[in-house]
Order: sequence, then C-alpha cells, then structure tokens
Amino acid sequence: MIKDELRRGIIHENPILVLALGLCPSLAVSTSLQNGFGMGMAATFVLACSNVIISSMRRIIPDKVRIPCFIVVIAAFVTMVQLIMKAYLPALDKQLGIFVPLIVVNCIILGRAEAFASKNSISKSLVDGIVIGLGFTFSLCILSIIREILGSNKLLGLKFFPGYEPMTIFILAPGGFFTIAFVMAVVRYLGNRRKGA
Amino acid sequence: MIDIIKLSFMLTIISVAAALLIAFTNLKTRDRIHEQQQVAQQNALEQVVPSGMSINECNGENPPCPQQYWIAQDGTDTVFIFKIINKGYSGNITYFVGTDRNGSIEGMSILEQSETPGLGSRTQEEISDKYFWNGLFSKKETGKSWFSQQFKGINLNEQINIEKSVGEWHKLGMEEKEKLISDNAVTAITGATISTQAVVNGIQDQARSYLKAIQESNDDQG
Repeated sequence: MIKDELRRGIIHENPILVLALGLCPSLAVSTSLQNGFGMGMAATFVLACSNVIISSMRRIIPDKVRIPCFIVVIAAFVTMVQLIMKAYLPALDKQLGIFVPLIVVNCIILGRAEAFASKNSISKSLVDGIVIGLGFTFSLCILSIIREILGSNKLLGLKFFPGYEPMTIFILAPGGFFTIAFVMAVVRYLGNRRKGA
Repeated sequence: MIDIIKLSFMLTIISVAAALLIAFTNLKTRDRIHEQQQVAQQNALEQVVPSGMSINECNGENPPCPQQYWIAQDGTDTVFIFKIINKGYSGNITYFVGTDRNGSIEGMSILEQSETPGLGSRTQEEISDKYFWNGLFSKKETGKSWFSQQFKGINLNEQINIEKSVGEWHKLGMEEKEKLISDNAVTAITGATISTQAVVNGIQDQARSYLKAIQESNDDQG
C-alpha cells in the first residue's frame, strides 16, 4: 500500500518529469542541491497541509468559486508558515526565504488541491500530498545534482572534479531546460522499455 | 442573482477568515521576528570591523547625514559603518560598509538580498577549497564571503572599477589581489554583473556622500 503510493508519487505521477508541472520553480531552484532539497521539503510540507485543509473544507467551498478559494487558503497558509519560520527558524528562513512565496504559485499544489484533495477524504489527501511532494523533491534533487556539478563544479558547496572548468550555462535557465529535457527523456525511455518487455 | 450573492458571501467569509488567521500569526510573531532581525544585523555589523572593536549606534541629525549609522572605535582608529540599500537584479540588496576617515573600506557584509540563486546570490557565497568526497562531513567554515572580502582596502572616494577579465577574486593569487587593490578594483561575479554593479554603485553613491556629510558636520562642531 505505502509502496504503491510512493511508486505513484515518485515514478508514475512524478510532478516534474512525468506530469511536467511546476517547471517554473524547478528551473529557479535546481541550481544547487541544497536549494533543490530545501525547496522540495518546504513544498512537501505545504502540499500535505494544504491538501488536508482543502479536503476538510471540500463540502463548504462552493464549486463555482473553488479556484479562488483554494488560492486564498494556500496563500494564507504559506504566509503563516513564512512568518513562523522567520520568527523561530531564522537559519532555515535565510536558506529558503525566497522560495517560500514561490510555493503559493506552484501549480503542483493548486493542481493537487483541484484534482485530488477536493474529491477525496482527509487521510487520502494527506498521503497524496506527501507522496507527490516526495516525487517533487526527488526530481528536484536529480536535476540540481546534475546542474550544480556541471554548472559550478560543486556539490553541496564543496568542489567536485579537480581541474574542471564549470559551464555557467547549466546554472542559467537554458541549462535548466536542457537538464529537464534529458532527464525526462531518460525517464520516458526507461518507462517505454519496461512496457515493451 | 441570488447565486452571485451567495457565492460572493462564501468567498468573503473564507477571505476574512484567512485574513484574520494571518493577522493573528503576525501579531504573535512580530516581536520575535524583530528580535531575530536585530541579531542578524548585529552579526553583519561585527563582520564589517576588525574583531574586538566596540560598535556604537549614532543618529545623524539632518540629511545628507544618514539617520542611522554606527561608529566603531579602537584607540585612535575610527570606523564609520553605513547601512546601504540599493536595487539589485531582483529586489533590494541591503548591506553594511565600514570605512575609515579617508574612505578606505574596512569591511563589507551583505545583510539581505534576494538575487537569483546560483548567480547573484553568490554575493554571500563562502568558498571552501575542500573536495566533496573528503569535505562533506567536516565542519563548515563560517568566514566572510569572498565577494565582500575583496572590498577591504578599496577606497570609496575614488572610482571603484569592476574587473571582469581576470576571473573571480577567490581564484586569484596574492599578487593579482594586490594589483586589484592598487587599481581600486573588485572582480565581478560570473553571470551576475548587475548584482556586482549594484553593490559597487551603492557604495559610491550613498556611502561616499554619507562619509562626506558626517565629516563636514564634525568639522562644524570641532
């Protein structure tokens, strides 16, 4: 059960590499492993909580204005998380500070609210938020490892290859697109091969 | 018609509830956030001056003096510290610059910035020369960022040049670093010339006139 859910979030419904959602924040933050992992964990937390809140409110929210309601709920929640982080975890806030407001407009969160949490029970929505968040974190980590090594010859801020001159383009947006495209192609190839066998 | 009123009513209720929750959180965390900002500011101030100097806050009376600045003293040495806010590539960069009476920069430290991660955000980057496989579990150095270190010895009363052709400061040898100081130049961050320019411009436009204004007001009194 847990294994199936994890496989669904990380492989079959991987938000970046399969559903191609949330590419915008992914491009922005996958420049270093520390940033990618931090953003992934922050998004997972917000995703799980917003899924729970929206699922518990799914009978009150009128169908016709559900999207503005979701955005209000998510934005309010993110703002509160940000204030609490600033007050009690300043070191973490310094690392993630600029990404947290980005979570509000992250379409993965709105997408899960619309496609899943507004139709399913609270416990199911919580699990969905966690596994999709982990899928997001996992793909961000892969992208950022590749980009950090190629683009700045570092991993977690430490040097990687001796005597390699980094290609700055991999830190910039075009390099992000290249990396996403290559990783996506590999994932597709592996998926197709499995289906064929 | 009834439908529209009903929908607007629900939307209003949800928005008001969300606003109340945020207001409540803000009320509860405001003091604590202010405290944390004070701590961050104090740490940044201490990085600007040689360790062991005591820092006192001062208030400038009238413009062009800055409303708030700091003076650090150690015997006969005096360092003036100014808080500078200048627009970077995305949002403001806030930083402190410490300078002696002649305009020679004692230190610089970035307090806040929201530049592009991996590019402009490297104004705060600390370089480690360890390799990944043997440095991962060793303790991280918490020194100053290379970008701010290169400002020491630069004179803000003269034109500060931005050197783009020699590579970044932390890769240079002693001789090249000395040559930069004699040229009154700092190196740009690769791919983030606008952020570099913003920091340099802020020093030239703001710190220079602050220093001049404070010296003039001191001369009047003395």
